[in-house]
Amino acid sequence: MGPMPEPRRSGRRLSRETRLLIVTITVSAVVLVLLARLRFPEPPRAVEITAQPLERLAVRASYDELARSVARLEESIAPDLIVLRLAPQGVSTPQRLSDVLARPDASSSGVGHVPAVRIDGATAIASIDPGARITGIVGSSDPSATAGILAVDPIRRIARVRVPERPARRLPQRLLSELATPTYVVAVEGTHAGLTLRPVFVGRADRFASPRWTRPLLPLGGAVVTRGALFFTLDGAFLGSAVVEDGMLAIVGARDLLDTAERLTSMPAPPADPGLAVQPLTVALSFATGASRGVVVSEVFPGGPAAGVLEAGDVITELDGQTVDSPEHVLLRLGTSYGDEPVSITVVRNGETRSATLRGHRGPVPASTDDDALTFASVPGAGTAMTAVHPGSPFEAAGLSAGDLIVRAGNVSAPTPAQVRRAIADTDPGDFLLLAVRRDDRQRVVAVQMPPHTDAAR
Amino acid sequence: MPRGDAPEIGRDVLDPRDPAPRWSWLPARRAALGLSASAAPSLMFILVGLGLGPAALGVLPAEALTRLDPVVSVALATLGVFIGLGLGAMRAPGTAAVLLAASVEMALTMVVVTGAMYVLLSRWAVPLPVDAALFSAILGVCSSASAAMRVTERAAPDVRSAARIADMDDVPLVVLATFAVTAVAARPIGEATLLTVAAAIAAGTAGWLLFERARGAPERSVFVTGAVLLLGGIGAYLGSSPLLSGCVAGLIWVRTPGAADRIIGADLRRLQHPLVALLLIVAGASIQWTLALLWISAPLVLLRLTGKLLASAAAAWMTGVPAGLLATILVPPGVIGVAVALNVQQVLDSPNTLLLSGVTVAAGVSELLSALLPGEREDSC
Amino acid sequence: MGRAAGLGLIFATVVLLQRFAGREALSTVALALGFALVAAALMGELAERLRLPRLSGYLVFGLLCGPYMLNLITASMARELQIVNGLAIALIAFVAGLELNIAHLRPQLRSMLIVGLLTTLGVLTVLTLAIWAAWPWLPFGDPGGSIARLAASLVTATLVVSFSPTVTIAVIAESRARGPLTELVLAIVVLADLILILVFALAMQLARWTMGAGVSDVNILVQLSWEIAGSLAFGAIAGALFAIYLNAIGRELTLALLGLCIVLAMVSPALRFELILASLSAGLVVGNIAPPAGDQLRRAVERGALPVLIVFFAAAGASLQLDALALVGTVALGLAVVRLGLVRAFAAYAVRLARLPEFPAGMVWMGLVSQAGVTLGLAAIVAEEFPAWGSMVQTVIVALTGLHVLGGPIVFRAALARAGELDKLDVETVSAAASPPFPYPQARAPEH
Repeated sequence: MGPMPEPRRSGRRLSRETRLLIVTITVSAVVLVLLARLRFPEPPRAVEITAQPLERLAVRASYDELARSVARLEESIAPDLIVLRLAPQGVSTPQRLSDVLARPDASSSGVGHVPAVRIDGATAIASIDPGARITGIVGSSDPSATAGILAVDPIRRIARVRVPERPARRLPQRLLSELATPTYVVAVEGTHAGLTLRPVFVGRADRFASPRWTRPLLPLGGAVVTRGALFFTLDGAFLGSAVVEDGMLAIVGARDLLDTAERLTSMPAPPADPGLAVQPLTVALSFATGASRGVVVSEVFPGGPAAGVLEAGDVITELDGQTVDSPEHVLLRLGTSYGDEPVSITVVRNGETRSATLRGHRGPVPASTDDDALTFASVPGAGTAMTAVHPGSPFEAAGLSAGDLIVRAGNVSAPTPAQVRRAIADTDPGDFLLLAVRRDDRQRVVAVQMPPHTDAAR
Repeated sequence: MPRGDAPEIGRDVLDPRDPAPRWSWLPARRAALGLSASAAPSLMFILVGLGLGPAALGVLPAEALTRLDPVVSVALATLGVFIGLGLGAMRAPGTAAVLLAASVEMALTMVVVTGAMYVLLSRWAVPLPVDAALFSAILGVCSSASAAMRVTERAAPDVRSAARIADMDDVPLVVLATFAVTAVAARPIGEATLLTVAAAIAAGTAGWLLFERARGAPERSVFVTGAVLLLGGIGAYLGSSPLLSGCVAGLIWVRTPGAADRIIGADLRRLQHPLVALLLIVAGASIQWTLALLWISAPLVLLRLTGKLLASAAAAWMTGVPAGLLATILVPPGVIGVAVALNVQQVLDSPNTLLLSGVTVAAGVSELLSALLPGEREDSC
Repeated sequence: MGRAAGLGLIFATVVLLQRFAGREALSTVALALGFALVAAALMGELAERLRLPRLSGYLVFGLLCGPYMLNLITASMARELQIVNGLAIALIAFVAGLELNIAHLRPQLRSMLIVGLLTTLGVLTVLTLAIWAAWPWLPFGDPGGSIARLAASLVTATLVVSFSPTVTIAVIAESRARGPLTELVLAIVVLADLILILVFALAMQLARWTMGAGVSDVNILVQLSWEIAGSLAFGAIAGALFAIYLNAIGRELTLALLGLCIVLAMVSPALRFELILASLSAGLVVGNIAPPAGDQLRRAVERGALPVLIVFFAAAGASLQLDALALVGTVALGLAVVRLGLVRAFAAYAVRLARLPEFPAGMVWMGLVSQAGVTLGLAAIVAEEFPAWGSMVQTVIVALTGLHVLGGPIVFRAALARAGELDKLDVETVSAAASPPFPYPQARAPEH
């Protein structure tokens, strides 16, 4: 047969093979490098060969896992969540059938539903505006199960709410800074049927600082959630709540929320009113005042903390050493310094920079001593027309504007200006005055709240 | 069989194929007692895992660790099979007494650890992934295991008995571990356990039928691999422990006529070392360094030591083996505790690996301590 | 009898588990793998009793237990089983390279080239024209314009023609075949893979150009050379390193082999290499430059390859989309028949042109029936880039592949049986010169 002899493991034979192998390796390596130079002209980013395969094993589109996680999460956090029904706020607009038929998709009731999360046995926190009112709890058939607002932080718009008692467990929290983005988180929102939970993808984003909150917020980018939605991580830790900051949705961390709730137990105080009005610094104003950045003081209210310290035309450039860029920033910063903590400001006046201190002031500062908050003109047979509405007055807050015709005030229809003034005087401070007002061929009913402790003529 | 060595049934898990390397002084102490030590103590692999994990080099990212779950299930099933093989093969007289002593010893350790940890945890308010009572119970289960020792010929009879006790305490551990895992998985315990046992019996019987009828070595290894995967899968599927399914299957294979136990023992023995090493590496890589870890692992080490000493005293009273000797043999924690913790962590499915980290760190430290403990009775060989 | 009982027990276990805990199952991978391994292995054996290739048994198992029938292996479990795909392909191609003996094949290189080129390019051309002509009656969308339609037809024809190196090699490996037909089919299938990679890249470029889609900034020639030459070079390095390990240490071969294939499978997609070419090249280096003495490697291959192949084909069977078959079955069937006829005709002509003996070379077409994963991968690329007409093409290709993967191995094994080349692998083939060169109708004396 003559087969070739078995290759002996002799040294010579082995080294020939090994030499061939080394030649193969060298040639192949050279070829690879040359081709790589051509194929990948830009410097290659580090190809994570070791990380990739194991990650490859991990990243299989596991949507079923996501769904399972959300379902499991619902089971574990549902007892800690309550959906509150809020009464409609703001201006209430009249509707006719033709309006409803014309815009079938728009909601008209204005009823809000907001989720609240329990922080201990009988209290919860939720995103509620000051002035809101809770009308009930969604999903609870027990008539004695009521909820009420204990205190509201008007700047952060977080409320401490009393809820039906229930043994609460310690809610695990995750700090926003610990959250490894990009990742999925679960957004909890309230509907008139109850809770909805859905996964929301949070992309890679840098946290940013906000004047309202102590710790940085996480922007949500394109995610669509309503303000007040609560966020949880997939393993059940409370992450935070959705707020609108600078026109953009962002997540504020659980720590900040809980701190707010805690502050609301001990200091249910209104924000400190700085007693001034500010406006943004435009280019022209910048040339005129000599300041390159900051916020222009437009009006200083006498009797407020800024009286005597600032004048109209001053430019506030820094607050507590931090540069300020927007009026909102200034007002909120000054407003959040509860109590008497002084705030140091840097001001540019007539081109000169100086420092000053503002002390916080409790309670609202009267905006103006102008008595002519309203001017009436009589329209015989129809009622009283309002020729002007002073900005900042409760009439403006109720949605009235110049040109509105008051056709009913209290119990009097087609009132004269004197009857309107008497109706105002008859209403106790803090109480509501019901007016029927006509504008543009539409009539609606408005409730005007009289300001407490002030002159009734406002 | 390709290897040609006679299979040894009922041997311990870290049974080395080669003798202990001469450079390791850690096992030298135990060698003086007539016990051969593992060639590579668990601590080394835990440290390797730590180095590779996300905390250090980052070669094993956190998501990859979760994807190694099926391998972990297989490793657990393999451990269970060995326990079952060992249990079924013990036909020597006095086995019942040894089993009783081992159960008592294990129970005592567990009670000490669970009770004390529960008190500590409720006092400290450490954030836990599960209920404090369950957490303490799991810690107790994981700490009550001891490393099984391989006994060499020159060991005294006392040493042999002590080694058997250490061996046997794996058996009640498997049962308790299953309960713990099902409790964490929030499944009805009775139903899950029953189903696991039933499925394991079916799989074991199928294996028994198939192993000997395989045509050729490759097909046989296919059947063996498939059987172990099935056993691991049963545990993972039902949210119970693969240790139990492996144990049941091992029992079946030993008790049924035929060579099924020898076949699977031989085939699995080639894999056990890498599998166990992998378990420890995964455990090491999953350690998360938090303050809570310190609060958990430090007391755990001390409590375990205390518990084991007490338990050795009790077992010594029951069996007549000297307590000091028993203590030296029972204190090293071995792999099973870490394996159970891994199992629980798998089922827990949470990114917070406090449980696993605590048990792993405690096991590593205990292992170190046990090597440093003064070796009594050096003249007993 | 015992095996049947074992199989029944395992089925019963899985059914019961699914019934009791199916919806809340925590992790299904290990169970799926174990089930697939044991049950598919047994079904493969059953297939062998019926004189079918074993991998048909695995496929049928996957099909039977898959989501379209018994649903013992759910769709997500099937996806998890596909973890072994890369490893399996690398292993199969490596084995092919191992068996291809270049020194032995060199005298026949010319004839193989002729047969390969002629068959592939010939079928491709005719099929392109046929599809182009029949486009309005085919369920594909409208690519817009007749030049675009030509480009689309070329792409589609490339997909339809493509052969499957993996299935072919798998059949050869498991039936332990060796002989002239085996070598010819092996060489042609590998050559065709190379040609089709080239043609596919060019066709896609043409399609992009005619349909106004974005053209990549890297020169296509550079891309192709990287894909082909780069893969070969990379595989050569890997294979050489493995060969050094073999000669120097040579222990735990099964694990080392699996490790090599895993590395190949992981690195190739990351660096844009062709996995099949890289693994093939690795096998070639090991088999030709430093062939290991004895059959340690072969045994390691058998031991390591068997479980991987079982899971691979079981997963493939479970992933076969029967609904695609139901949807476009007739079109797929028609295309299959046309393709088969063309392949047979061109192969016969090429064999005659290359002056190869009619038997067994005339049966080459039977080895070119199978289609599998590579085709599906390419079809997915087409569907992603040209969703207008590509997604329907993908559906048809999926159905076509399903038909071919079920029928191809059976046909090929029958051919091997007829050529008398089954189970010839036990013949010691350490030295290439032991087997007489091809063509050798006169030298076909029994070898040992």
